[in-house]
Amino acid sequence: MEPRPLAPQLAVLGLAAVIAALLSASSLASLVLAYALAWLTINAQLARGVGLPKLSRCALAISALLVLATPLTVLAARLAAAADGESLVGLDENVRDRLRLERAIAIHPLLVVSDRPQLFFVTAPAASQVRVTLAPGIRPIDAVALGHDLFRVDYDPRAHGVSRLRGAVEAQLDIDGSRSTRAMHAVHAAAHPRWLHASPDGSRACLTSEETDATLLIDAHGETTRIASSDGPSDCAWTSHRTLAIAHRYSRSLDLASTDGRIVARIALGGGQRQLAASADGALLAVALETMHGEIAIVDVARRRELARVSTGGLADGLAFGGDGRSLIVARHAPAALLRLAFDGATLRVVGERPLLAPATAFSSVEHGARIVIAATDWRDDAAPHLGNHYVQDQLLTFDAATLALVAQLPTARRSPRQDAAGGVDRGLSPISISETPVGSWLVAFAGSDELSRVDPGGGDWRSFDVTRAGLSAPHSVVALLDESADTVLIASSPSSGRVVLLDATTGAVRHEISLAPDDATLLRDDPEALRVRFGERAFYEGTRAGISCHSCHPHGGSDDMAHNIGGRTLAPTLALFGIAGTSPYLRDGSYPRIGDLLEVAEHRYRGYREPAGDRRATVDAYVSALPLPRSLTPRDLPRERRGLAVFAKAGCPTCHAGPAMTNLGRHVVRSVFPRARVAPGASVDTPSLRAVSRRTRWLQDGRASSLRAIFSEHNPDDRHGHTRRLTRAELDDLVVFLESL
Amino acid sequence: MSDAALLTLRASGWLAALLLLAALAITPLARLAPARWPRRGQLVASRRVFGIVAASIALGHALIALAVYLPSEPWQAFVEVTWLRSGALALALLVPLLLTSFPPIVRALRVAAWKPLHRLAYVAAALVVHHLLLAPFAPRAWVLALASAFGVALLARLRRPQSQRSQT
Repeated sequence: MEPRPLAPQLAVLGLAAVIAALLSASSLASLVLAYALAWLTINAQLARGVGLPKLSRCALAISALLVLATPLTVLAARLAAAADGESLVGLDENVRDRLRLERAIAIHPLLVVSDRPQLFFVTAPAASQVRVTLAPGIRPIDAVALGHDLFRVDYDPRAHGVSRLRGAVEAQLDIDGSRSTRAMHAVHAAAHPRWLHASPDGSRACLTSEETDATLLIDAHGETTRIASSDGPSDCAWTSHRTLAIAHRYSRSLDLASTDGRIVARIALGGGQRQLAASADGALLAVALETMHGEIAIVDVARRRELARVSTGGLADGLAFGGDGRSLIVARHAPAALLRLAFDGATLRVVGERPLLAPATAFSSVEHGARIVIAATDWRDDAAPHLGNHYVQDQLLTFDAATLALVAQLPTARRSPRQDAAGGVDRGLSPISISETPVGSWLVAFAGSDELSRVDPGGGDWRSFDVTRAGLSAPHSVVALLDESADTVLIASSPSSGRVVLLDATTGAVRHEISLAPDDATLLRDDPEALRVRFGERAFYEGTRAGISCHSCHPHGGSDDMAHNIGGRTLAPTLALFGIAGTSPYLRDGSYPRIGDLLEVAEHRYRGYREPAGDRRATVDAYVSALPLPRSLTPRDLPRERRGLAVFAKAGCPTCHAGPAMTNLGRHVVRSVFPRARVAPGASVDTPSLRAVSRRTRWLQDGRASSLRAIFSEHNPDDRHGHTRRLTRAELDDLVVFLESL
Repeated sequence: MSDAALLTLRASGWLAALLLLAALAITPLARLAPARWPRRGQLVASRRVFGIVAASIALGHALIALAVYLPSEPWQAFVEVTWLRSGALALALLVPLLLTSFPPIVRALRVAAWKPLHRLAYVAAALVVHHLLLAPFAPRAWVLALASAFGVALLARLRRPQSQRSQT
């Protein structure tokens, strides 16, 4: 074929490829710049009358190969980085989540769990009646109309049944007689034996599995009794060596039970019972309650009734009676502090407070109540926050129970011979429970380094057992019991493994196992998704070489309410991970499109993991995706919630916080919404979901709002974060009630 | 930002995108029309009008965004926020296309490779889709529909006309 002039378009494209390679182009802007330079060059040549070379087809092909092979190879090598830089990686997940939520009829969350009440929201334009069947096996539930096309579905597994299926299921939504189906994800929660408490005589221990509504009694030889208590047993405490109290998160009663398994009394207390403590004489119980501002209730065991209650200004992480049996020490989560409460028989008052820098991740009373030992990730005497980013120092802190003065500080993270990288720590990570042995030493379970340690508090002497040899991971609790020959037996729980083991106190050898959940091999055969979730849970608690785990800042999937900087520039309070599935992108600035991507923080910033464990990103994704939203802390007030929703709509909030997830998953420039925010001009914020917003203690992207109301009354002077400047006081109040109900 | 401002911002953006789509769809549509259709020439000529109006409204959309949505120092936002960067880049491509839609300017600028320049309209369309996919307000379904339409217009444009195919 006769040679023909090279087509200008081909010339421009070829030259652009070469320029892009020379520029090391790795963004759309640089590619466009390369094309523009190429066009200008070719156009200038043509404008001066200089023609393009004439080439036959064969010559054209050879020339293209010779000229373009290297530039195209260079550009191809940069493709992945360019895609990441242009937010193309993982974009499909965000698109999928937004499509799901933007449908005219939508339901959120998409997770249906078998073990606890949940709240779902449905948007159904112009509907008057909505009835939802969440999954096969669950009875239809009539939704409550809140107004403005938003409906609320209160699901209680005990009342409405449990899904027959696991994994992908379909919810049926009956909207005014017309049926629609929506994809959901059903999870059957496995048994999670957590917190062990030894009886006063050291002969038994009690332990609860909230997910499976089971309370176990264990002696030095194994399980003796299983008590079928009420909904969601969260903690147990011994009132004598034959009787114990069982707290419940989802039932309104506090149960008193005997060691033969009988429930001898039910005390009406209200739901949300989080933790228990019994006085030394067994006459009184202290119960930490999950209410809006956190409450502690005192219960008279013999008279079976509540005597007094006080608000502590935040939820409790731990509580114990002081040595006098009438004072209480409470570890408040946020603002983190130790509180001293006094009970005079009729009233309960907060009489002392010691601020903490970080919330207590473990709590125990020792020396007959004279001292309190907590684990925390940070401590400074002046309680001033560290300005260093990602600061985590696992340590045990001992306080005098009477004065709340710090008595001793014992860092726990250390290196062992198995350390495989310079500067890495691999022992003493994430202390998660502390108990005292009859001889006064401490037993500490370290979830981050899979070990149980016996510590001599005076000399700091350590004796540790690696529980992986016992087939456990992320141990949560350990206590010492005495058998008939007065030998000590250690009992340890591992919620992620669903097991409790009895160990020889000297050698750490396994004497007995109690399996409450299927083992890994059974799950692999019967429910691989559940196994993936289990592996993810283990990885969640596993410490990296830097000594930091996901749990360090997200205790049990929640938030330490401290300010960290993971994504980039702004210190922001840690967000809880509950219910985040289906709300891509993630992190405050929306810089991570997939949950598994968040593991990049552990792998690169925290120096990665010592042990190989398959695809941690996938397993952690599965575990975090299976964490359900917690319930609201406020009692229902439907008329006010409806009024509040009307105010919400009037203020324009649904523009960004659209139902049913109360977010449209959009990313905004921070200063577009908050012009006076002290952030870099280019900082972004991912529109957060308002579900469970009442459980936070600081609001807005940098935590500067100290209350929900303050978001509008103090931090919206430009009226760009909703039109709230002209709302009346009553309207603001109703708006807050609505937000708290989410 | 008031509801009216937001509505104007969104409406102007979508209008610009749809007009750009119309401009890109003209040639494939014209190829479908019978060769002797008397209005064929008018249809092809309207491509220029659609393009000019699309680029002009895109300019207006950017000015509205600067006035009602973007912070007072927007430049760093353009650099660091991906979807703003795509939008700005799309506009940066449409402006020279707008200018070179007028023959006197083409002559004055001595544009000799006009087609390789105006084919950047497809790149601008891709950037518009990228901008909308990541932007906070655009419904996903609409964006995907727009992306599909742009894709069809591009594929139809790549297909050689019947007259050229029959010559080979």
